[in-house]
Amino acid sequence: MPVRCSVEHLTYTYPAAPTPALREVAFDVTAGEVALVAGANGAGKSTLLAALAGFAPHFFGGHLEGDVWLDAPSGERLSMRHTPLAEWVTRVGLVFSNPFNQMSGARLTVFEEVAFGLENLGVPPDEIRRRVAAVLDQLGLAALADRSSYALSGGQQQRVAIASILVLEPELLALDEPTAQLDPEGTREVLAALEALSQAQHIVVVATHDLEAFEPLATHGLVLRDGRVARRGAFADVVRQPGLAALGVTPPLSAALESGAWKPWSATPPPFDLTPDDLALPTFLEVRVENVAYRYPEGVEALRSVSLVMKPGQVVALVGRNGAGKTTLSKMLIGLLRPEAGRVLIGEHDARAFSVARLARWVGYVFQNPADQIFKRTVWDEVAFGPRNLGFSPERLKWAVELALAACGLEGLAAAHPYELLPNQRRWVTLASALAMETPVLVLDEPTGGFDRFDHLRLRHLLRALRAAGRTLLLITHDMSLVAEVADQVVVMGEGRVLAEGTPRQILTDDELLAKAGLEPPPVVRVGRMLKLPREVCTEEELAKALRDRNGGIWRSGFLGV
Amino acid sequence: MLAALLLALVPWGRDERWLAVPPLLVVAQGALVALNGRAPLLAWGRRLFWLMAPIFVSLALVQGLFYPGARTVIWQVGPLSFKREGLLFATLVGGRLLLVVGAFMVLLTTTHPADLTAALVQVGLPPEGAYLVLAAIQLLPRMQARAQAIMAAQQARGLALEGAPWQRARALLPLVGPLVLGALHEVDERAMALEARAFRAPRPKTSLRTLHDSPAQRLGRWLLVLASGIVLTATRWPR
Repeated sequence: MPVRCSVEHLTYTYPAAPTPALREVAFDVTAGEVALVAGANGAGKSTLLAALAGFAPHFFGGHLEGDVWLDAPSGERLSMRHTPLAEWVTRVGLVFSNPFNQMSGARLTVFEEVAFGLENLGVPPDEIRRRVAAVLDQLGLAALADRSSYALSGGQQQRVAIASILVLEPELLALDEPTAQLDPEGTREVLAALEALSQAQHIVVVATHDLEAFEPLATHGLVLRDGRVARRGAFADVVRQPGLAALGVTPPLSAALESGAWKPWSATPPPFDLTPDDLALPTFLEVRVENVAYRYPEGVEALRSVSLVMKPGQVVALVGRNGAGKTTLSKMLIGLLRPEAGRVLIGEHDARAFSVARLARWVGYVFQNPADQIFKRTVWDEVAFGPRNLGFSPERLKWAVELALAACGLEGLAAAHPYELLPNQRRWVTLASALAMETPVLVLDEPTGGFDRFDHLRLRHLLRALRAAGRTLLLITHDMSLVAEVADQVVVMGEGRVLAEGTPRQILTDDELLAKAGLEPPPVVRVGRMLKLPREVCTEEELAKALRDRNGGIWRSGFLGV
Repeated sequence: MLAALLLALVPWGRDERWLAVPPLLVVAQGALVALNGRAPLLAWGRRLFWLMAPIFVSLALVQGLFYPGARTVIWQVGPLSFKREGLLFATLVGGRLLLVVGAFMVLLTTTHPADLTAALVQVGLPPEGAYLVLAAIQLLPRMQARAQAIMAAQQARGLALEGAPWQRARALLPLVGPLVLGALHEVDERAMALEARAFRAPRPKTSLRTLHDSPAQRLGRWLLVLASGIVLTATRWPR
């Protein structure tokens, strides 16, 4: 009998919450199927996954109506409501969305961390070794087996977290944004591992904003809005239905084009009312990195003679594999790391001669993990922390904070405690906090983790506005669409070196280079080639124009097949 | 490793004849570290020194100046007089502390925490208890890493951590809130991570690490128990 999971009339309210987070959610998914859960942030995706895995209500408390049923291979029909969590987790595995805090704390190396769950299930040691080795190999972690599970990059930690649950081979595997921190290569490896699991007759449920990446794998789609099911059905049908954009969902580009409802993102007006004048500063600074080399105290050679120039009014995108040295390089700009050889110039100033706090007047820095950069009890105080340290006058402080809040869509949340916010809102708080410091240079390290369509559009508009205002921007990202849409210059890094440098068009259409750097062309480039457009397109605006030229202004459903 | 712990029991004699014992035994502990070969002897020694030096200084100050009933002044600085009895007492107490701390550090530097917990489970401690021990060992390094991340973020937001000592001390205040709040938050997430990995699954666990307890080791432990029993009797027996 195939494994099957039925969600019946699921309504769940968190403790002390005034309204339910899930309302009357119902769907079925059977072994071998891969269900994708999409929707704007706050729509209930994570809560639904937590309910599938029994954490809501067994861990969180709160009130549950309806149930999740699992038809086990043995023929038993198990109720989540009536099964203790300790037993349920042996059948339904959950990978949480935050990769930084999923280590058990009970084991020290990657290998033992991944083995921990199997030890708890009483699997014989020889089988544990075999299964762990296989999973590490599958997820490209074999080389890290003996490393400490804490000394890993964000993307590596995310893969370890996935491996730790995957190795348990649960009948249903639920993953919450499993690829948010991964480079394209890591994403491919995770997809391949999930495909293998699904072919072995397990159920896979993934909550994600990246429908494009999961398109080849997904069989079913579920879109949530305010805790209710807004769309449900076969994935290929769901992503071709109109109105997804309004639900905060970006469908795969080819599907959007076929549905006939596609518009380039820039046709949507910015969600804020800011002019380049509002964002302009009296100073412009050029940043020069000259032959910088750096080796970590543990001996890892992170940078080998890297040079690059960032000009005011330009967005430089730093791309490359997890662990290529991108974050290391960016930390040199704010003095958190000092070059061993070479130098970093902020304007005319050698960064080495200044403290971090002093460099912070020129360089705003948004770290990858929001958890370690929130210190205050209200969003307003948090955003004001930097400007206060820099000695802004009360009027200027108020202006800077309110401007940053408006730019980041946090106006209504000024009095909220940052810990009460959704993860994507916390990320916006960290962005606003850097923005409020009015620095001519701004560094964003992986700013899009956990972003839905609305967040993505806001960020693109904001980056373009900052660029127009003459800021010098450094963007570290795996999101090649973002690079194509906002970057002026792309720097590809690999193993501590600059592999290539050029415009987004030069870099993102160079297949050989992308393969070498473990990257992938953005969907627009792929679709443009599929359509055999006369000229290679890189941005959505270019694609729209090429399509207009070709189809005389109209594109219809199904034209991709022509 | 247990040997070092038991060595710490030895110097409980109260009079001066015992003063030579702690240094000798610390050297013995160092030898254990060196023999084990897994951790550098120098690192152990340096850590032990920085841990114990402030304690010795404060002990010497407090006991040297204020030991009740002390009469023999050996060093007069203005109104302050250091007395022989007090300093002797300080050395004695400090020596004992040094040995206890040194012994624990021998244990921690030579034994991989995972081996320690595996051993604890093997001798019958429930896995939850072993996890607590491990969590306690990891607490400091984890807090340290988190504190560094928070301080980096605060400096990047313009908080000056350089300058006069009092300025630096004041800059540490904003660290406390987020550090504690973050740690509390992490407890929740850690509990979820453990649940998700079937930590509480109601079935017998297995372990990747099996520790081989040779008869020689067992004999050694019993001999040490015996030895410390003898020492205790010898030093405590009323004379």
